[in-house]
Amino acid sequence: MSTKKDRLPEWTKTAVGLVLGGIGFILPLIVQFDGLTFAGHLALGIFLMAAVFWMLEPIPIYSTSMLVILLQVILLSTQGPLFKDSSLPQTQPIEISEHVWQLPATALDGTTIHLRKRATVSEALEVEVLERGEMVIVRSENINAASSIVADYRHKLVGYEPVSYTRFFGTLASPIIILFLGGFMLAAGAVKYNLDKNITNVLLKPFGTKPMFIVLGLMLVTATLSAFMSNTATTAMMMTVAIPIAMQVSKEDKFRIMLALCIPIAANIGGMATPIGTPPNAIVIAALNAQGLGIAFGSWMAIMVPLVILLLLAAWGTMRVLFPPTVETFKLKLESAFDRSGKAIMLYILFGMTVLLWVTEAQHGIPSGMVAFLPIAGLTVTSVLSKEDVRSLPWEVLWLVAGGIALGISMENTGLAIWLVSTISWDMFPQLVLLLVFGFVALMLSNFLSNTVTATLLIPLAISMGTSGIAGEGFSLVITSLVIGAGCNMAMLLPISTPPNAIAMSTGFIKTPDMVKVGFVIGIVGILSVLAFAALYWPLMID
Amino acid sequence: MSQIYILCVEDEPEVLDVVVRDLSELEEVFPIEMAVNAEEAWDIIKEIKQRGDKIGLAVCDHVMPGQKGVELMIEMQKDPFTQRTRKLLLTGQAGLDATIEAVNKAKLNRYISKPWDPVELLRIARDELTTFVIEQEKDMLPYMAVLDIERIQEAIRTKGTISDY
Amino acid sequence: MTSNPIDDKRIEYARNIVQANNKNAYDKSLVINRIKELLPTSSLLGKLKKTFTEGEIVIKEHQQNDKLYIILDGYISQVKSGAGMNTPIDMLGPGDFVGLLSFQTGEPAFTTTKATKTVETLCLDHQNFELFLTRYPEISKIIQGLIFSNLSERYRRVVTLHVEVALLSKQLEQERNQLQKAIAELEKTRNMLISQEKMATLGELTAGLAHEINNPASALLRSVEYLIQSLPNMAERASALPDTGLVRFFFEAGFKREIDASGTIRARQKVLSETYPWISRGNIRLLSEMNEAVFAKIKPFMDNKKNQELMILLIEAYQSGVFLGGIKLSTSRIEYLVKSLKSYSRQSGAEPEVADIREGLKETLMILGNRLNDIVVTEELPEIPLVRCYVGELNQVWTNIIINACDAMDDKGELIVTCGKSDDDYVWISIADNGPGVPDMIKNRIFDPSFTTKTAGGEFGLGIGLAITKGIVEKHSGTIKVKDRPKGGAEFFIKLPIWKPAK
Repeated sequence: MSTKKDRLPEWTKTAVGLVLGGIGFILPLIVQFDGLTFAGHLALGIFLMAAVFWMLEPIPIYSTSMLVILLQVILLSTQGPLFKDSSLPQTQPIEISEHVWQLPATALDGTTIHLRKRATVSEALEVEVLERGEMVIVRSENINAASSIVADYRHKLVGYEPVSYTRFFGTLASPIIILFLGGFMLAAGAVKYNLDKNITNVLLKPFGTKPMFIVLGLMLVTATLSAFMSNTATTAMMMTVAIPIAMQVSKEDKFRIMLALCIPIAANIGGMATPIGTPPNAIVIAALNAQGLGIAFGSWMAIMVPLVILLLLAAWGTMRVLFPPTVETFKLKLESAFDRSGKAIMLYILFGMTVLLWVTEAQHGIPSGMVAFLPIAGLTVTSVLSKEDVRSLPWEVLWLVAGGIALGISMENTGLAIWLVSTISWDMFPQLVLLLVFGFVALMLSNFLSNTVTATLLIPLAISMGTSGIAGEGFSLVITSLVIGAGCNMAMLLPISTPPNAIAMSTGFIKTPDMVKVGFVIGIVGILSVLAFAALYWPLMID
Repeated sequence: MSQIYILCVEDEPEVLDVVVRDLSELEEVFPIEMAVNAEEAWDIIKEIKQRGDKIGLAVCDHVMPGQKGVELMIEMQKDPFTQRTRKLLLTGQAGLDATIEAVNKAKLNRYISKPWDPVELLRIARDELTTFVIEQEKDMLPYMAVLDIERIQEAIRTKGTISDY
Repeated sequence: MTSNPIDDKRIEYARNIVQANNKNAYDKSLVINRIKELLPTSSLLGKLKKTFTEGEIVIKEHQQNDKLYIILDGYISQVKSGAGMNTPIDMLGPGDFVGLLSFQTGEPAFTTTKATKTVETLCLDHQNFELFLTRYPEISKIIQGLIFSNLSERYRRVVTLHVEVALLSKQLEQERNQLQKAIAELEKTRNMLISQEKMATLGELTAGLAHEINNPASALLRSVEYLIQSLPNMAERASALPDTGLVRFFFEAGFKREIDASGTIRARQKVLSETYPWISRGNIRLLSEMNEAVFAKIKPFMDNKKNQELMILLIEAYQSGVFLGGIKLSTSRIEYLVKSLKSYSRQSGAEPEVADIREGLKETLMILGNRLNDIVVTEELPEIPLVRCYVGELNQVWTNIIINACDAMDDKGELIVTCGKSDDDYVWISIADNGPGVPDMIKNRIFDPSFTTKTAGGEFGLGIGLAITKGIVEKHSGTIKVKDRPKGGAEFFIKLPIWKPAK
């Protein structure tokens, strides 16, 4: 803010970020990592570069996402220069004896050889190694003289089946993106026709005049709205309600702090309540979908809403203790004037219908992504949203998520994710500890990084643990992913943790220590609650 | 992120001191530059332009030696650098003709006659700077604390320039 | 009709008398006819007949007259000279006598009688008259009667004339009163216009003055507010200083504040804000105003990052000094303005005063100072004799001319004010500008009332200004002219008579 303090010219930060990212990208191309496929090295390069870029932001985070897809298309796609027209080198095993074969040394990777199923598809096969040398002698009952063996285990196609570039591009329109787009459009309509403000004024009325209850009301309403609208827009809107209240209170009264702080907290927490509440949720759902695991809209709500309520109450109680108000009663000016124009009515109808269909997804079976096209088409067909409104939608958030999903794809199918987690023998740890570690790491990272990015980096790891089974029995992919998702959303320590926090900080009503105190408590309570839910409640909800 | 300045132009030093003092609440976020005549004002404007910063609000008297306040503001309106600057005429004597010219040609935003109420001056300055920030700045957060918070929050809500991430 | 009903009655009465007396007792025509009958037959009468042609004088005033005329036909006018005029007295017709009194009494003729057209008369000298009377007794009776009626007619006429004169006098008096009233009204209107013009000019002046006073007034108020806020607890806080005299030192530094060039200050500001990033902008701004010596004393407190209280205290002391200095400046400015206004708008007393008109000129220039901001004013006012005048009104004259000059020059240019003594016991004052000048065809009209070249919108172009100005100058027995300057522009040249003390 004050230029005296950031005397560092802007370009220094950018330069450092770019250089480090570049190093991250090049590193795996120079250094060989054991146990990592060729494609895995490429994916690692992209991963490191993306992580650095997302952390240091020399370029905007959504640009990094696009860069990720670009590099994937070039380096890892079927049509890219690396994998185009390439095929696995093959060799035939030479029978030495029954079930004993001779193969070139390059075909053997430790104790693994690779069967050449197709030109681009290999399959790993464990063999018993009898002798090593320029030629190796192995024993296996699973191959015969006609078997096609990959001649060089280091070939780039080994352990990796390249995917069409359309798959990477396709993330931009994956069902979860469409779902979010529908949500964005409904939210844009709500802002345009002041539906959010009017609902707020209606919902706040019953909360009376006692300051603590007003705060509770604010928090509940904020959480409800942010479940369907962006947390940031909800925060800004609720601030216009809270600020006039705060202005009337004396500067010394701690009620001011509570008013300003309760809103971002409630907005962040509320975002967990529905799949469309906040972008990290998209990463979770997309990753689970890719594994064939779906969570219906309504089911997600059933899973998350109790947690949301618990956390809201915990936050409310904390703030009550930390910032006791001195003012006694308060009169709120709540006038609602619902827009009655034709287009507004259309919005209400579409909004209601969409939410209804979403929430009842489990009952009727229509996927929420499909339902999302109802508002997408409906709102534009009826001109509820104009071309300008469509242009103003936060497309970069969709790109951010798309890039995250795409990165996840490569982390999975190049074996990078497994390689990253395989250094530790996770099955030694009880599930709860695992969940604690993931939750904690997610929480910590997303305090400093974008929540979506944190999810992007961590979810593939969890997925890979699930698919590879190295976490042992009792590992639930879904629950772990949900824990990570929750952890990403509960990070509210600092102004930089989430945009709602930054907005609240900028009002000048809060000092950083106030935010840290509350954020800290919520973080702790959050993790513990999530673990409790993960252990006791969620397993019941999940098939 | 560029610095946004307040420029105060008034030829009598005692009055200038008082004006600056009345606006001192905004100073930490919007530094104040002082000029005793139009010539000095243009020097300051040039310096600020070279630094790559902006001028959010100009508070000018009319009756000054040399170029008068209204003429100064008309020229500021013509110069693209200061075109968007909010303009406030603070004067005890500007005839109706001069004021009409200021409104039409200089796109004068506010007129306050001397003697002025300090609370009112601060409120108006704050209001004008809020408008400037909402119109001109993509990132409104750093300025919010000393401006009209409600209006800025509403602008964030409707403009949608900040999204979740 | 007069306004007095009693006078009206008198007039009516007099009129009635006049009308009543216009009837004759004797019928003159009878006599004339008889004489005419006799004429052809009587040779005597025939000899007595005398005819006068048009314009011929019958009897001249002041002359001896020994003839008596009886008019038979025609008319004779009777005129009396005196008081520089010839007053017609009467018109005598057939049957009237001419020269009766002078004939009978032997006194010089009282009036001049002249024939208006051809007149036939009977001219009798004394002899013939006797003869007439003795020879024709019946006629002589009639003639005697005629004589008497003539005389009594004339007497009556005199009385009537007196009455008419009285009537006329009365009417004259009435008219005189009305005229006096009208003059008084005109005088009132003229004074009203003068003061309206004065108001208008004053209005223009007040606008400028209001601004002049507003500025220091508001600065004054706010400075006092600030001091009320900051001074009270300064003493307590000062006790924490190692050297309590520092507060006074900074206070005085602020009071005496001499501001460096703004460029220097801004450069200093930049350096300070970089060196001391923990100090707030407002304080940096004030610190950068301080000169070396003052700055040196506060520097040790600036370095103390943890406790800035003392530095803030000293800066506040400095600013208090600045504001007190501002108060001093503002109050003296206000005092000065009020004094000028007072002396300028000094009401003219009933009596003019003997004054040095240069004072008024200088005051006027001062009052108009605001308007003359961008104008280069040259004053060359050597000593001149005193003038007996209404100072306030003359100030209006100077104001009007100077403001016109400003308007003509669009508030930018030169104004030259000079004075001197001219040979003919007058002082002259010249107010010249380098504006567009006054075109020749307008020169003699600009002093006319309702002549203006100013448009209706917002300007005090009553168009009376110069007319009143001229009126005032002429009231002082002076003259005012407008001339072209050789270098361009107009010069107003006013002459006023020097005061000569009565011996």
